Amino acid sequence: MSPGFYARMLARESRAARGRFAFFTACIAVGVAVVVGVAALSEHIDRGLSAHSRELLGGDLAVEARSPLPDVLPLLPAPLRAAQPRHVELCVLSSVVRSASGHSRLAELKAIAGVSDFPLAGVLETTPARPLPELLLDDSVLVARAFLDAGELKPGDTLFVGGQPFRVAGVIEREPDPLGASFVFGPRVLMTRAGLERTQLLALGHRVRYRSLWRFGPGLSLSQLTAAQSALESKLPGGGSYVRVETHAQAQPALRETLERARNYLALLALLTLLIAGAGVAQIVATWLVQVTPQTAILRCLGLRPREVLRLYAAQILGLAALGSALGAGLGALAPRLLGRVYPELAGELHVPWLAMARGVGLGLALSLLFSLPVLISVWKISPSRVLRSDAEPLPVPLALRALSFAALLAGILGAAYFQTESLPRAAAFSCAVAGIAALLWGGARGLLWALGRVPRARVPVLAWHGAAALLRPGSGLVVSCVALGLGNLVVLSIALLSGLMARELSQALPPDAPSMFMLDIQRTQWPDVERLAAAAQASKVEHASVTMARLASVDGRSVEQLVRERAATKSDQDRERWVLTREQRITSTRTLPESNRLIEGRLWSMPDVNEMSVEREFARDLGVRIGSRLTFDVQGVPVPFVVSSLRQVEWRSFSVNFFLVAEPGVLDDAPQFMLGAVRVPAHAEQGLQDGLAQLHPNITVVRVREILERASGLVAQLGIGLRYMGVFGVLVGVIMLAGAVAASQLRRAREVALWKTLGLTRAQIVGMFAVEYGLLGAVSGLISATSAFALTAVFARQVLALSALPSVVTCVLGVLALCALSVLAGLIASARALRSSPLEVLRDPV
Amino acid sequence: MPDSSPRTAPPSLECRGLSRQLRSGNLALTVLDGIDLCIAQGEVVAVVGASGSGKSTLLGLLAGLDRPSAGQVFVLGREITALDEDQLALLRRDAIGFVFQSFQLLPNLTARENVLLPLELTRAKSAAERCDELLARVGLEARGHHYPSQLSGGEQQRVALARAFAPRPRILLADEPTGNLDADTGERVLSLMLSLREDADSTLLLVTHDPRVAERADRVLTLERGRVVAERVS
Repeated sequence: MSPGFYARMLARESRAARGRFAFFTACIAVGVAVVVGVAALSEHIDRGLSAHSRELLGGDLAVEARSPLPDVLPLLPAPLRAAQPRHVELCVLSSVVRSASGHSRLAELKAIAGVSDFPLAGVLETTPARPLPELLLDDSVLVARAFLDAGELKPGDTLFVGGQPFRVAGVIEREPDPLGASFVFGPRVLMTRAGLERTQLLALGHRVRYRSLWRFGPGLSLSQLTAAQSALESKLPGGGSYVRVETHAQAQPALRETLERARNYLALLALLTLLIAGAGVAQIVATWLVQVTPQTAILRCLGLRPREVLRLYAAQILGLAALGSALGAGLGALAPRLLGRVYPELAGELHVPWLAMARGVGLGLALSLLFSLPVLISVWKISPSRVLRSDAEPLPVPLALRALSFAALLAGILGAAYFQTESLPRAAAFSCAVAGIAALLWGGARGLLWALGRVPRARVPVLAWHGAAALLRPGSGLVVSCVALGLGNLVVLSIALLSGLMARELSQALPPDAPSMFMLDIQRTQWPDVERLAAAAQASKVEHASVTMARLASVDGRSVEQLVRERAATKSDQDRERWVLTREQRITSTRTLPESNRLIEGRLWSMPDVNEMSVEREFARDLGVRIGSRLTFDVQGVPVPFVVSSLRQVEWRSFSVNFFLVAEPGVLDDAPQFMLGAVRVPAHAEQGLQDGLAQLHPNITVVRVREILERASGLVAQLGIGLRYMGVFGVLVGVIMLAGAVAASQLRRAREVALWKTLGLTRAQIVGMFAVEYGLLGAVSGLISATSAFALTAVFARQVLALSALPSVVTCVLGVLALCALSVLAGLIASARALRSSPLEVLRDPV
Repeated sequence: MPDSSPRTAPPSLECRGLSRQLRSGNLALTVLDGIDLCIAQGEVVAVVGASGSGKSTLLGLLAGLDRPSAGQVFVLGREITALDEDQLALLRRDAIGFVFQSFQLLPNLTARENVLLPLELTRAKSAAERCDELLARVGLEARGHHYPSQLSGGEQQRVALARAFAPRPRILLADEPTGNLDADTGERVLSLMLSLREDADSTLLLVTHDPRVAERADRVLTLERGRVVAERVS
């Protein structure tokens, strides 16, 4: 057959197909819209990160370390030195600040040296809107708006930082790197470096991040910057390990990694929606194929070969898929615009995401065809002798063809998953999971329907029985709708159950006797005051431990720099590898282990000739050490060797004072130490204790556990809501499928309605029967998906998150009821035409 | 059972020992039982019999629409029993036209498009002219843009005739072509069909339960319980 023939037949058939295939187009449109939406958002954010990379970094080049940095300028390559760069030095640390009224809170301090050049990239907006050197003096600060919103401060007030008074000169309205602010350590306070030195906080050994930011002229290329990065890493002591050098192209690696993970996850969720749409397409095609069987027989009788009929129908499907995909791509491309409406700070410059749209359309076309193929193969069954006898025996379908069509479908799903994630293991895992869950839903649906069919007729009201019987009719095509609805509902419920469980755990995470406040950077001489204030606050539990800050210098004779280089080449999570080795190690000493620690290997303090160290099990695995490994620490420039003599398991959820590293008592007695305290006080007394400490010893950092857990819980809940929206699209496609399956059987339903009306049923009674049918469908798919979601969430929570609580049954029940209601609504709307048809017209129509 | 006598020219349609059984639950029903038949080129043969006698089944087997349980079928001298579905489709496309009791027009195509379809399948030259010629021949030149649902039964059957004769088939098979028409319309359709057959010099096998229709054939075979029980030459 010539392409022209197919095109002509396509045009002819499409005249009558418009209404019939609206659901087909809608299914594909929703699926493609979600895929394109996620990809478009991802492109938009990537573009934003690239366009604002200098702002995110704070310049062209950044050098960061946990100890004071040397002068970087002489170490830069000559061309960069000659470019007369501008630079700014920053110190970032957490500390409790106090207003004149005595109210204290934890804040993140950013001290700037080179105020006149700050910021090197981006814009700092303040109120009042005056140049920064006029606002920020050695005795003034700028504070985040959160201070004003809480009513603690206003411009002109005094803020005590490290016990020293500073005038609040203004409010930070917008920072160049808003994403750099940590959610844990409180709102931002800007000050000068000289002002920070006045507070003595630097001298008292606070955990400080030192950043040296550089901005060069506009003509500098990325390759020159990268060369400068390499030069600095080789020349700076600890470069590449303890000292981190980044160009703007690498800004916010943690954020990028998080976004990358989120992108992969969302891309798979979006693909799942499209796969459900594909199942919908298959369902609609199957129903349509049954309806056009007489026409197919005529075509076969006239001389079309089975494969020519398949090509003809496949061309129709591709045409409709193209329409649906184009529509979906257009809708999905609006996602960044919608994001900008909800989050104006993420609006940015809008582009048409052509690549995302092209990928979405490609996926839509491919999956529509692949899902339709196993169904279209059925044209082989249609015997041309059907033109003579409607009960003509079906012809056999070549087994190889059927196998090939299913193999193509499975390969297509795997290919689509790989296309979305660019990772074969992830694609394979996703494909197996989807296939497994779909099979589970299918089997469960068929089993439940079979069980329903065994309920004695006498026990069920007549109309309800007929409603259920419609669902049980062979070839009703509603089992596939069940699977699609179930898959979408499974995603929504799983996310809802898991986020609810995590939010609940976070908000209730504190064991009854857990500390409610931690205090860091306590000097030994300050401890009696801490105890006194805690007692006054009715503390029911007071713990403390001595802490020595150190850097890990070597493991089994190999330097940390060497290990960082080796692991960067081989390990997948390079940032974590670097962090484990180069972080500031906090070592405590104790003769006996606290209750939350359990010795699992080795013995404690049993080797007299060596300095022993007990290491937490997971940390030991991350470090790559075991019993007998040698660890050398740099304690204020003095190398101190240890041998790992035991491994411990720590119950971190006890929230007690616990450490990765415990040194043998006596080894570090001469090293500079500070104390760490943990107290449990009534909630109403926490603020008073914090205020008292801030007044008396402003160097002490106080972390309130409940606040952090509440904020984390809120974030998890918000994230859960956002993710649930993705699952809702899956349910939407399932509902469209259901409506499509019902609409496709419009003629049969109209005849049924005509017969029922003729037999004397009222319209309300017929609606009731339909409601039973659709409600049961929703109930069956809801029950199976809710049970599966409950089980999956419980297993995941127990095995991966180590949570013992069970997901919410109420959420599951609500999920089932919501799905029932949706099914009834969609089904009745789709049946409206059949319900309106006149019995006489329908019964006289010779079909 | 009387045998059919072949003419000297190669037969258009022939079957030897043709049998067909259909399954109904656990029972096997014998619809045709050892039919031997030979129809010469250009012959008009009617097959008559009561409902359920196997007439339509015989037509279906001779057209390659169905497969026999036993026996052989020859179309234009070629045995078709061993052909696969593709080969049978091509045979029907190239050599056989059909007219059915229920017209069997494609509902989504106009009358003109229905007539064009077999010409497009055979990639016939001047398909549009041939189509218009036939529509005029059947008196529907002004109705070509109408859909089957907009035509009366007689008009639909005339479109079906135009479609069947469009590619100038060597063989025409008609299954109760006037079965759904009133007497007058049926007579007009029958006359048209025979006229078109004569123009195309096609062999015509006509299945009917109407003796008045059968009278117009050269030869009439009577089927009863799957067997030819009588044969009459007009």
